[in-house]
Amino acid sequence: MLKNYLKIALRNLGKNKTFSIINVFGLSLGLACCLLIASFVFSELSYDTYPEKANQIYRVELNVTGNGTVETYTNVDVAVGAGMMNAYPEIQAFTRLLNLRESFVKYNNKEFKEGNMAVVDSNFLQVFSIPFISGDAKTALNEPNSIVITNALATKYFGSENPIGKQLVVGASTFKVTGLIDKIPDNSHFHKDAFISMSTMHLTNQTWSNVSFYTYLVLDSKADPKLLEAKFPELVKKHVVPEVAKDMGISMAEAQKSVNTFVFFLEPLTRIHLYSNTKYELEANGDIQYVYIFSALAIFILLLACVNFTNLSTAASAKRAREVGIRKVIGSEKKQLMIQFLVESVLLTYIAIVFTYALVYALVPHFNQLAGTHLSFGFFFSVPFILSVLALGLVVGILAGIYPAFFLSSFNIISVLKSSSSTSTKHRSPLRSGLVIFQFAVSTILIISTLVVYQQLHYMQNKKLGYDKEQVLYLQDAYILGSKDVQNSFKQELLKDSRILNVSVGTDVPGNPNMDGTQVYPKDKAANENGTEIHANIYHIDYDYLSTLGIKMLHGRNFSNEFPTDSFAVIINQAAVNDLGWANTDPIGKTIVTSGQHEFKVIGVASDFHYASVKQKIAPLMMMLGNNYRTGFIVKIKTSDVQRLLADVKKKWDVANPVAPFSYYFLDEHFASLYAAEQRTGQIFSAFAIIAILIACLGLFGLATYITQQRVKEIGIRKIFGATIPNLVMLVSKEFLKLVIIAFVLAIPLAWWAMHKWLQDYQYRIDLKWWIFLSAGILVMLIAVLTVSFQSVKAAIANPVKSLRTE
Amino acid sequence: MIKIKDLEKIYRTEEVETIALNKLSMEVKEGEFVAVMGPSGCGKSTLLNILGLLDDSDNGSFVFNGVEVTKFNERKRAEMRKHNIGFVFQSFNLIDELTVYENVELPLIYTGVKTPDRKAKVEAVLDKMKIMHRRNHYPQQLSGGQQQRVAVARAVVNNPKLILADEPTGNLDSSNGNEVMELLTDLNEQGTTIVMVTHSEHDAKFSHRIIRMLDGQTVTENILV
Repeated sequence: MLKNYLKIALRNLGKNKTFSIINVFGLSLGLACCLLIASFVFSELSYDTYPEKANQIYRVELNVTGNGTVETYTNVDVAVGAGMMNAYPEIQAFTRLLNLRESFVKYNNKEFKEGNMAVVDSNFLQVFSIPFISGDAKTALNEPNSIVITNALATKYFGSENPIGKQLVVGASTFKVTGLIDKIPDNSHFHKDAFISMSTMHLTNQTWSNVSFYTYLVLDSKADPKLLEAKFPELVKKHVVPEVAKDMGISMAEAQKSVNTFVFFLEPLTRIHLYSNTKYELEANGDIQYVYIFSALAIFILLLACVNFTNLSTAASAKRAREVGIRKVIGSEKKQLMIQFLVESVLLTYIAIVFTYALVYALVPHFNQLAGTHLSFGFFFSVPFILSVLALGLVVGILAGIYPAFFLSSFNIISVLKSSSSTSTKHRSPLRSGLVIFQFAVSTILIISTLVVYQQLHYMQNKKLGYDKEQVLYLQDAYILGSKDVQNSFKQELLKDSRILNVSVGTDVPGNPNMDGTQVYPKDKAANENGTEIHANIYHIDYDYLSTLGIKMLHGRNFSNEFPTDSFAVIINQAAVNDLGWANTDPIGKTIVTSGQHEFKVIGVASDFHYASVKQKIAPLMMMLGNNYRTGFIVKIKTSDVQRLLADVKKKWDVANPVAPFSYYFLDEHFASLYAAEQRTGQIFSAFAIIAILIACLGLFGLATYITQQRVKEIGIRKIFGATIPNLVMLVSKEFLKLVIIAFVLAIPLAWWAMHKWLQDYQYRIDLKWWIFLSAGILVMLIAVLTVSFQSVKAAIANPVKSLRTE
Repeated sequence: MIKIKDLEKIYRTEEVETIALNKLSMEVKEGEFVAVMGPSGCGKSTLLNILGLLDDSDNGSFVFNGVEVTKFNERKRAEMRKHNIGFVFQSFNLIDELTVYENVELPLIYTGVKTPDRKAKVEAVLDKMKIMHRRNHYPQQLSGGQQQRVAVARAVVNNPKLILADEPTGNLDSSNGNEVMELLTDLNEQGTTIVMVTHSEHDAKFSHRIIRMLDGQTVTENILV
C-alpha cells in the first residue's frame, strides 16, 4: 500500500513540475532558514554550559541605586569573594577575574599589543573546567608572574617552540609561561588569550565598596541561591558601611542610610550571555529577546512555505479530483486517501530537506557573518540534529498536507466523476485567501521592520553628537612614545603641519567604553540627603580637548594653564548639572565631592555630547585635567588626501620613537562600529524579509498559474465579447491585489506595535512615520502585481479560439 | 441479488426540488444481465449510483445480497462496494499516473490481497482481456477500446458479484463497442450479474431484460430471453 502511495506521489510530483519546483524550493528555503536559526538558538542557549559545575556557578553582581536610577555592576570589589566564602559554608569556592588594560607583549624581537588578557585567581581555569594542553592545571597560576596562554597566542610569539617555561614581557614585567590551553570555548561569555596569576598583583587592600573584580562563586549543589542572596545585606552592614563612613567622612548611621541601596546579588552563570546586559560585561552578550524574535521568524518563514503547499494543492485539486473519485469507487476509504495525500506531502518535504542541506551548506558562512555565530556545517550532521530534522520534516509535511488531504479526500464521488472537465472546484476559497493574506501580512511586517531598523540605524549614525567626529584621527598609545616631553614635542611637530588643525593628548576619547567613574555628591548638600549622590563618569583631558573635538561650552571657561588651581577644577556636562540638582542655580564655582573626599571646583559647563553610544542616555560626566596616563592623541585634520597625511604623521611618530608601534583609527569609523548590533539586526531582518517575500511570491505565482488555467475559458469568452487585454489582466490580478491590500491593512498595526516596542530600547529614537508603512505597502503590492501579471498577461494575450476549442 | 422498493431520491437546491427517483421498485436476480434505458434526466444515473453504493437514497428500501443497505454509513458502503461491485464508466476513469497493470491492481490493494496473489490475479485478467502486452503502458498511450478493456479488467479483477456499467460503449466506435459488449456478455455467462445503463438499443440487445425509465420511475420491462 505504502509502495503504491509513494509511486503515485513521485509520478505526480514529476508530472506537475511547476507545482513541485515551487513547493520544493519554497520548503527548502523555509527549512534552511529554520535549521540555521535553530542552530543559532542552540548555540545561544549553550553558552557557559561547558564547565562541569556550570549550574552551581554564580557571578556576584551589585545594584547601586542613586538618584532614582539603578546601576548594575557585574563586577565587585577585591574582598567580596573571599568574604562571602568565609561567611557562608554553602559556598564551595570563589574565583576572580580582573581585566588587564591593553598592553604590549614582547618576546625577543616580537612585540604586539594585546587587549585580551586577564588576571585571575589560581583556581579560575579549574572552576571553568578549561583543559590544559601542557602545564599543571592545579599549580600553573599559583606563583606570581605566571601566565597561562592559548594556543593561538603561543604560536604568535613562539612559533612551533614549546611555550612552557618561556619568558614573556607584558608591559614592564616579565612572566613565565606555566600552562598552555587550546582556547576558551566559543560559547563562553569571556574569551581571553592570556591569564596572569592573581598573586602577581600583591593585593593587600581588603575593600568592599569599589568594583572591577569579576567574582564567581561555586555553590554547593543543594544550596539555594535565593536564600544565600538574602543573607548578603548583613555583609553590607559589616563591611561596606564602615568603609563608606570612613571614605565619605560621615557617621556610621549616615553611612548605613546611604548604603541601603547597595545590593549584592547572584547571576547564574548560564544566564549571563542571554539575560545580562550592562555596561560592565566582559564582552557584548547575546539577548534572549533576539532568540525569541529569530525563533518566531523561523517558524513564520516555515509556515509561509507550508502555506504554499496547502494553497497549491487545493488549487490544483481539480487535477486530482478524478483520481480521488476512482479510488473511492474502487473501494478506498477516506482515511486511506488522507494517508495517501499525507504521504505525498511528507515525501515532498523530505525531498526538500535534501535541497535544504545543499542550501545550508551554501549559506552557513554568510549566516555566521550575519549572526556572528561560529557554526560549522558538520553541526548539521550530528545524529541528534539529523533526527530532529527528520522529525521536523514529518511535522512540516503533515502540517502542510493535512488540509489538502482532508479537502481532497472529501470529494463527492459522483460529482467528480460526472464532469469530465472537472470544473467542480471553485477558484475562490476563503481558506486559501486567508493563507495568502497571512503570507503577505508576514512579508509586509518584515519589510516594515527592515525599513524601521535601517532608519533607526541611520538616525543614530547621523545624529548630531555634540562633538565633531569627521576628519578626526586618533593615534593610540601616546604613552609608548616615551616621556611626557617626547609626547609634547611630537604634538608640537604635528601642529607644524598646516593640514592639522588641533591636537589633544589625553586619556579618553568618545566611543570608547572604558572610562573611569565614581560616586559624587554636591558639597552644598549633605551626602546622606536622599538622592544627592550620583554616579558620574570621568574624562581625563587636556587644555585642547574641547576645541579639538568642537565641544561647546555653555557656561564658565575651559581649562587654562594660567590657572594653576585647575588641577582641582572640573568641567561638567549639562546632564551632571541636572542630576546634581543645580539646574536652577549657577553651577560655576560650586564644589563636587568624590569618593575619598576629594573636592573639585566646577569651572565650566559643557553642552551634552554623546561620549558613549547613542543608544544610551547621556550620563553625567566630569572632565578634569589628566596628566598621568595618556592613551592617545586626538588629531583634528583637514585634508582631502588622508593617506598622504597619515604617511607624514607616521614619519613624525617614527622620528619621535623609532621602535614604538604606530596604530590609529578614525573617530567616525570607530563610531560606526558601535552600531554593529543594529547593523546586524538590520541585515538579518532584510534577509528574512527577502526570503519571506520570495516564498510568498512563489506561492502567489503558482496560485495565479492554476487560477488562470481554470479561468481560461472565461477569459476566452470575455475576449470574444470585446474585453481588452488590460481589462483581462485587471480581472485576474484584482483578486490577488485585494488580498495583498487586506494583508497590508492587517500588517500595519502589528508592525507598528512590534517596532514601537523595539524602539523603546533606544533613548534617542525615530518617530514611526506613515510613509515607512506606505512605502512597504507599495513595494509589496508592486512585487505581487509583477508576480501575478506574468500569468494574467499570458492568459489575456492567448488566442481565445484555442482555449474554447479544448472544451 | 438486488431488491428495491419505493426508492426515492430528491435533489434540493434553494429554489428547486428535483425528484430523481420517484418511488421506484425493481429487482435484479443473480446472474441476470439488465439494461436500463430512458431519456436524459430520467434518473438512470441516480439509480446506478445508488445501486453502486456511491450515493444514498432518501426513502424506501434497498436490499443488496440480502442485506438492507440504505442505512449504511460511508465506510460500510465502501467496504461492501469493494468486495462486491465492479464499475465500468463511459469515460473509462483510469488513473493517468498509473500503468495498465497498476490500475488493474488497485482494487486488490484496497481489498488487502497479498502481493504474489495480486500478481497472479492481475496477469490472469489482463490475459483474458487481451491487453497483457500493454501492461506497462499508461492510459494515454492506449486507444479508447483498449482503455475500456483495462477498465473492465479492473472492474472484474476482484471477482465481484455485480458489475455496474454506465454507457460502457459511449466513447467508443462500433467495432470497439462490440468488443466490449462481448466481454460483458462473456462475464455474464460466467455468472456475474450485470446492470448496464445505455442509450444504445444495439447494446441493450445484449442483455436479458430492458428496464425503461421515465421521470424517476420504471415504465416498461421487455424480457428479451
